[in-house]
Amino acid sequence: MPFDPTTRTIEIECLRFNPETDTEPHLQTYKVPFHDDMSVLQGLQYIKDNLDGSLTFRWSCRMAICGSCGMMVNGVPQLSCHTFLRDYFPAKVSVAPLDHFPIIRDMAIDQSDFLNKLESVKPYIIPKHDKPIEDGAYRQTPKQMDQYYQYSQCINCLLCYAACPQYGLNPTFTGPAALALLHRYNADSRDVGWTARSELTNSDDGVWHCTLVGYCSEVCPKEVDPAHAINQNKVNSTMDYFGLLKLLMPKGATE
Amino acid sequence: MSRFKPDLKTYTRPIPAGWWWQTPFLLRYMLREWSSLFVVAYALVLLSGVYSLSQGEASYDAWRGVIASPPLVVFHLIALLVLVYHSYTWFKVMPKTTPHIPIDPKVITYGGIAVVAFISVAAVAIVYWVMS
Repeated sequence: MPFDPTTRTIEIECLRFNPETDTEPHLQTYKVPFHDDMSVLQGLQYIKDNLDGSLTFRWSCRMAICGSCGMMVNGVPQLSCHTFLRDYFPAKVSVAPLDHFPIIRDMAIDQSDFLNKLESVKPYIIPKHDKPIEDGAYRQTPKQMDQYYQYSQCINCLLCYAACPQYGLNPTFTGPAALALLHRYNADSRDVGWTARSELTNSDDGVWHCTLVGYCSEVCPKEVDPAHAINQNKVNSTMDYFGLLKLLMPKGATE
Repeated sequence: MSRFKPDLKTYTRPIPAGWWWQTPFLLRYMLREWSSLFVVAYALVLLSGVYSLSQGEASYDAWRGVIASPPLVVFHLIALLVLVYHSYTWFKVMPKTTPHIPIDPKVITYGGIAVVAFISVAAVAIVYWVMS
């Protein structure tokens, strides 16, 4: 599509919630002048700077790295810095906080539930033996690194939680990003934490509440593919149940 | 409850009853799940055929008469369409269940579909050849 240098006006419809005055959210529409290179986030920044300073939303890097600006843009979980107003014009664009999370104010959601779940998957390498720094780094081949690298690209933007109907319907489900990070460590050759994480992995709230909807992988801006991570662990969890996992894993991979 | 501020006032939106209806991706997911009901129904029709075969020739001929009736012919046509969709979705999600292997997911999906299509055509051809 050729670059259109003209400034046009688009309507941005925001879900507003002020905890001090409102009992439930309402919609508010703003007319925003934009040009072709403006993201939805820049549209919101225009509103905050010029039309309504009370509009609240999180953002930081503006380049799909920090994972702060996730929102429902026309009902789809997206990074608002990664989504362009030109693609919605001339229709209006609706912006709402990420689904399935409590709203603190306007687009700002409370991520507490995710942070608790992230902690519960023990998202750090559990080595077989503690190794003093003077013994040098843990060595790893490119092939071993390839097993987990993709899953380590998660930026905790929570788009996958907003996409996951299972998380929406069963809030106790550990959810896509945390389980993808659980797999990121389980799949790391330096880690022997399967057993330490297995109680969670094998539970209903672990991998078994996933019904392979796959929308998490569809909306992920970093191609982490949480659905793939979770479903590999359904196989691992089944093998663990039958006592096969320790037979099939490389020696010393579980403890 | 918030991790950082226990008395934080928040608003939790209810999940709309039509959550699966508004997003095409989720609608396709629900159609995939519902298509399994047709798989069960079709399996029961086949099992009833096997059962009637075990009850003797008269019973089996009666069963063949029943499945040749217009309502069951319509059911089979619908079941065929739904099963084709079910098979497609089954191979579509298959790459998500494999170990982490350096193979393009499309190769797994369309390779699986090609194998099933080949076996189906071969089975029809063999039956046709035996019957004629």
